[in-house]
Amino acid sequence: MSFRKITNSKLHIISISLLGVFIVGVADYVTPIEISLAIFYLLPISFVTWFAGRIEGVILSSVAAAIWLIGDFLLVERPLSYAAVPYWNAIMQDGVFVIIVLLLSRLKVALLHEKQSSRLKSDMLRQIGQLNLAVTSNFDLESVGKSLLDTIELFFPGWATSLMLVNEHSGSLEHFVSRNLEESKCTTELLNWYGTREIIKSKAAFVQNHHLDRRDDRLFARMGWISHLGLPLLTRGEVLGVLSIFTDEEHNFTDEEIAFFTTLAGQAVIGLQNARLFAEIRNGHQQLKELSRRLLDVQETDRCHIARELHDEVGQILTGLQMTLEMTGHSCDKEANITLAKAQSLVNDLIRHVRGLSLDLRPSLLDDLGLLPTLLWHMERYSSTTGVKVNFNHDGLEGKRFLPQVETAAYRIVQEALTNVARHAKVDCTLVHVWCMRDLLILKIQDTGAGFDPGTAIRAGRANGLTGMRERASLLGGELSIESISGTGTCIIAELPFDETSDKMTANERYNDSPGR
Amino acid sequence: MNDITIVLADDHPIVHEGLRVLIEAEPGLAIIGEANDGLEALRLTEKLQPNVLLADLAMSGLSGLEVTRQVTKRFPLIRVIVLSMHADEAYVLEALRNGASGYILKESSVMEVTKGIKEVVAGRRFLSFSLSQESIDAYIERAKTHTLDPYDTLTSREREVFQLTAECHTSAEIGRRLFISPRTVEIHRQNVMRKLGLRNQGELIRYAARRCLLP
Repeated sequence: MSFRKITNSKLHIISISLLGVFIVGVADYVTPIEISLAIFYLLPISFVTWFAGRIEGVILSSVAAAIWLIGDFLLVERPLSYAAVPYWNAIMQDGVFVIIVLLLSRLKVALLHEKQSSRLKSDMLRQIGQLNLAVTSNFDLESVGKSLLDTIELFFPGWATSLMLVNEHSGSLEHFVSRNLEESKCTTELLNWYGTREIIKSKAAFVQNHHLDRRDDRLFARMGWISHLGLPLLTRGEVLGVLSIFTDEEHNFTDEEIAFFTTLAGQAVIGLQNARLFAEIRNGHQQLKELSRRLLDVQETDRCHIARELHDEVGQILTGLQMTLEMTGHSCDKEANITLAKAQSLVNDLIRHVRGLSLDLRPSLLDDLGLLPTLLWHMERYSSTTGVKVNFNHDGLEGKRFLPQVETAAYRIVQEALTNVARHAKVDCTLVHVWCMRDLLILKIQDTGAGFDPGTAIRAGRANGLTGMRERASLLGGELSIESISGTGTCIIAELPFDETSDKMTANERYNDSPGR
Repeated sequence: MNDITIVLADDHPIVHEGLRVLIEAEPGLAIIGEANDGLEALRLTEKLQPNVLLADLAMSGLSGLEVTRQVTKRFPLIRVIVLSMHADEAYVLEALRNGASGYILKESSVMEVTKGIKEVVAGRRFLSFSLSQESIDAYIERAKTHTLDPYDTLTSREREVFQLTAECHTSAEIGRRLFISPRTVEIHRQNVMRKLGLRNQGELIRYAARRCLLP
């Protein structure tokens, strides 16, 4: 039987201790009377006191004193100066034993208390650490607030907690999250409660250990909340919010507890601030993205509008002018005819020029006929102006129409990539592949030319075109990868997701839907 | 011989006027209807049943290409000539595919219009002189679909991930070798599967084996 098992059963302890006392008594009896073995009685007495309790210790002390007395009677035969001497001695002995028992039990209680409080402290520390982790790894305002209240609930189940935050824009206090307080009007009441006002005013903790019995407190008292601790959430001297804690029975908040809650609140402040900053950054990022999308949209719409205006209006008027000139030519003399022919050729040049301008801005083919004809047209024109031959292959693209923004993005990406090839790659041939598979439109533009370091180019801000391509792809939820090594060439792969359903739109519907019409 | 009846559809007043004067000056041609947009063109053609419909390519309401498609489908006897400012083969081809018998550039001479009308009525195809059948054929050739290998759509990073995945390395191992996080490896792998149309690792390995990409 192990020691722990023995100490777990009171009966065992008492019987062993009694046996011990008895053995010491026998030993005392057999040893000469001059030798006192009184101190050995303390062994079983201490044992029983430590493991069984104070009362048991006191009883055993009396038993030991009694045994000692019996021994005394049996051994001492000489006449005594007073008959009561053995009794007196026994009582003295008992008194010493009892004093030791009392001291020992006190010591044990103190030790236990110390042990408990250190365990609580380490628990608290661990919880603070966990809250810290939860708060710093989470950038969501609500979950930060919830983790704070969860931590408190873990230590003090049954208590009510509420976290109120100051609205950044209006500056007024608003209820954020609470525990055990939702069932009544308490959360709204709390906002205007004098305690809360006091915390905001003094920027210090507000403790109310006694019953909440002021007139203002009645609602809380009626709901069964008794003591209260309120803490301000402070950052750089500003009140960010208020943490309120209500207890379900009268409770004296110790300095330790207040320090604990203050630490928790401090952790929460860090988390809340992180969350707010993160939300700001995220919103900013979102806005930037939206802005850049709108910029591209506006640019494209404007280009489209001007291109159409040039082509349809200016172009048609010029065509009309040319027809008029031609018809006038039929009814003129020879000399005037020569001048008219000159004028006609000038008008022809002008028509060509206007058309070129219009196509440069935005090819009408893109709206009228779709991506493939536009790419074919562009490459033909590109090769004839730059002298760079394009090896163009495509798969799954014929007769296919995509959403206008997908077609525009694809065309602009190829256009930009080819412009870069002509400008920087120093090659006379480049490769363009376009796949249309399942829900992805993939463009690949590759050359074996000069190449560059994409990282440095983008960082140095020298690559507006590259960032623009990236932007177009990412706005469609796609991706664009640029692989380039100085001296070996560049490969750009763009993946544009598209919605299959858009195919059903006929060319004509799109023609009429296109901007500028 | 009866005059050739014509419906003229162009939404631009100056060009419209010019064409009308021009055609009426030519004996043997008669304009029996004039439309200012695509829908009106369709309605008039249906009502008047002319020999020839002269339709502008870029009309509001309904584009010239769509008008051409509907008219030639419903009234095979009516010849359609598309008038356009676009000299690109893609437009010509699209017009012809939609059933047009002629394609005339607006910048070309007046002669071409009258010649074109007579040609299509005689049952022949007519293209502006500056356009040639050869260039259209060349365009058709260029526009032909090629069978492309989806494997070529992989970026070099995706190829590395593909290769290591096919060699049965875990995401963590691949990440360590390529100095990227296992999550990034996972994203690359999903992208590869999506591009190659593979559903699981088994298919990926079989694909790699088929392509002799395994060591």
